[in-house]
Amino acid sequence: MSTPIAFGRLDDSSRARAIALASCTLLQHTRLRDLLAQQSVDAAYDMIVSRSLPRPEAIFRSVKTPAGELLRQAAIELASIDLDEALERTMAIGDVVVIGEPHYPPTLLELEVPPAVLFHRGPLDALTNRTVTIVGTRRATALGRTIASDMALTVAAAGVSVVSGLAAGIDTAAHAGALEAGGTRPVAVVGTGLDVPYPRSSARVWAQVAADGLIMSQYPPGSQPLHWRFPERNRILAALGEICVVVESHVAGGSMITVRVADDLGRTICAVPGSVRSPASEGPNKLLVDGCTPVRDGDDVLTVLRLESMGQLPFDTRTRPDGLAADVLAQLGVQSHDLGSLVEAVECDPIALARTLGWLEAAGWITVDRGWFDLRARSR
Amino acid sequence: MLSAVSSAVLLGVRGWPVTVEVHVSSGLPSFTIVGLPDESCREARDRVRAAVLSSGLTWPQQRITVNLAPSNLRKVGSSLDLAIAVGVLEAVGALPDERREPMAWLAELGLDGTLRPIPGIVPMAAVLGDRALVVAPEDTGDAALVGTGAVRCARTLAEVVEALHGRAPWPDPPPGSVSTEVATPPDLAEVRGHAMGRLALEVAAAGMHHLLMVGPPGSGKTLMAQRLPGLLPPLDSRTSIEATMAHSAVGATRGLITVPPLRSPHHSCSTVALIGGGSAAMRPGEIALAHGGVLLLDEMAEFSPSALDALRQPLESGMIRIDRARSSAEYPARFLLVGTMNPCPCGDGDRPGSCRCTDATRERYARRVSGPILDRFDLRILVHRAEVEDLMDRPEGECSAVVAERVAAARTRAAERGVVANSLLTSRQIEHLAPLEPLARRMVRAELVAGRLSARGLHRVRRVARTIADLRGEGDRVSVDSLSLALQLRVDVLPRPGR
Repeated sequence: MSTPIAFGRLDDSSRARAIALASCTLLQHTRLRDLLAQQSVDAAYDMIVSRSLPRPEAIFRSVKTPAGELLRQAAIELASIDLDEALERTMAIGDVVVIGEPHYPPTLLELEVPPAVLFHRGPLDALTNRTVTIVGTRRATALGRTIASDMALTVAAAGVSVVSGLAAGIDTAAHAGALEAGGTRPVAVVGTGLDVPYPRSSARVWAQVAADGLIMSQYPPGSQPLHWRFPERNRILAALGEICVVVESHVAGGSMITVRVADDLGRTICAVPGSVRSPASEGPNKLLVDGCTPVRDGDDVLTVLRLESMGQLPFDTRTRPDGLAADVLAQLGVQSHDLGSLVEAVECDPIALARTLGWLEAAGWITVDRGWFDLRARSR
Repeated sequence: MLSAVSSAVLLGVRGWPVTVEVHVSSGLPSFTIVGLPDESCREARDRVRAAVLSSGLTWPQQRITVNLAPSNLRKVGSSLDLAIAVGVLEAVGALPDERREPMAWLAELGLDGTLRPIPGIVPMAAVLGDRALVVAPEDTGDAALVGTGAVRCARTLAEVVEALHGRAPWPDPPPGSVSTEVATPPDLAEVRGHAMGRLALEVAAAGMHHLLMVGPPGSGKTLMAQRLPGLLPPLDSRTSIEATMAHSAVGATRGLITVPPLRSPHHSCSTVALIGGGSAAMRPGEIALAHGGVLLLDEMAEFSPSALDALRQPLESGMIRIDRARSSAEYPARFLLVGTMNPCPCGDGDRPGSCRCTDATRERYARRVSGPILDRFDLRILVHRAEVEDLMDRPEGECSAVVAERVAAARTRAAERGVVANSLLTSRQIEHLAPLEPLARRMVRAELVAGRLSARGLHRVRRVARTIADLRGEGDRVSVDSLSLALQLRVDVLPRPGR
């Protein structure tokens, strides 16, 4: 398609029209992008509402319904949106940027279908940093979450913006780690409206990213989590990062969509190797077999970015353990354990182990969830 | 033309003495039973008549009225058959008048006059005092367990009549009517590996702490639970009698129960089957049958929630009271509850992330068992499938006898403090019978501050810590070691709030 019409920053009335266009269910993705590639926001809005769009079949390509009928429905829907209210609702949460505006994130233009209208909260200049996208499964292991979190902490401390999706599991862990570093704004791209935190388990991290970082969505406020919205979100994630790191993913996971898009865009793909027996590591292990770059931690990621570790990690105040406690930590570095399997692994008396575990948990070295012990990420 | 003989009926696990009054008068021949008999009891009419005729006696062609007193008590079952037959025969003068001792009659009659055993002979014999009991040969042993009077048996109604006339002595009880063989429970030595599982069984047995085992299928949860009765000391005399009564009431076993019973109802079990109260006889449920022993609920998440929640009250009070519109009954039900659960619905999962179940799926599955029930488990452990090496090469573990010895020693220490089992310590008792050493006190404080322990959880942990201290032979104070282990033996089944 043709390149978007370049125009300066939009005024409020045009923005309100852009929001209305993005809120129109019949004008999603390709249609909106095609429309704004040919027309200015105001002209596009007027043409739809007045049903005077030249060649509607060029925009409303559908095999089921005639283009004229779709235009008529879109006109009705668009006219029913109160422009002032829509603008007010968006500005109460954040801001909106339209394709063609000077501050529209340039990396997104590399996408086949860049989002035409992008809602965001927090300044877009977070994207002028070096960026790395960290993605992974929602069904992550505790170890995977720890790796993601520590990796994000290290790269964020080196001034790299961490981009992720605020989904459960790896995404949230990565954001939590990036927030811990402080200073560098994390970037989140979500698949719901900016006022619809999803999943609820990530609400705390969501609020922090919204406060200290940048959070973006191509869906207007109030958009509910629907399954088709997330793959679209994944494309944006892929485009925003200079490199894309997969921490844990099942073979058919959504993270693999992100990886495919990132690969198409020529981004470097990195994967964290995992146990060949762990279903959660199937995805990255397969990517490694296919020849992508292995990374173990944040320092490896920085090397891929040709950056040095800045050595600005917050000081670790925890007392360094020795003896049995050190043995326990070494075992937990390999995989999760419960009391029974630890007794076998470190070959000690259950009482001594119970005391050690109590101490390690109180000192912040390990976490326990439903009987399973794991190393605690530095960032939580 | 009037007679009154003694017998009893069963309601729940209690016997109730019943006087069978028979009145025979002239008039149109008839045979009526009054005094609130239920259907099964009313059927005695036909059995008694046939039995009397088959025994070579004549059935009076007169108007016969049988009254079962007290008439407000509902009579269920066939235990009154023999008493009605004897009452009729006595009323028509077919038996000698001068009877030397007060007697009571407890047997069902066959149409040929045979005396048949009845369920609940033990509790019924218990309420008949010093009367000489006449029972079926199979019931002789059980009737003698609790009664203080003599026990006579007869094979047929004809033998009873002969003996009453003094024409023949009462027949000797058949040999072996009191079963002396005790089934040995399976031995703990067969459990290989499972160090924590064995430890938890030992603590559970020593303090009667309810135990929940979470693990994938085939990890040995049931195998271990079945070995728990073997670790418990033999029942004391009172519990033994109570357990025997419950088992007798359902006709489950014969002889005195001295080994702690193990009951493992299937998860399709209904609330009534679990708690008791099924028929008009208020049949005791699985929890009453597990009295003094172990109630194993395999696959707890598959039980109906209402059945599980009905366990809450008996778990607290050690007895169950069942009230129905017509009657109510009370059974002792103090048992050690052992539950098993899968960590996730797919059944493959062990370590989180080792199967395809999401965290949310796992949590939803665990929530099938309500929080209050999960809270009743003082001990909650994870169990894993044994490694191949464990199955093949590992030597057998300690046998039940060795562990049972330690359990008995720990229970003796608890008994010296005047406590039956540490799980029954009240919160006031905990303060002075299970004081914490200073370091342990600090640890408890830290756990409470961090929100890892609730007030109720604290008491449960301290009870378990007391038991562990008893097993380890610690003194009055509970050490930080015992407390640490108690804390670790209490795995959260649900994610902690605020995660």
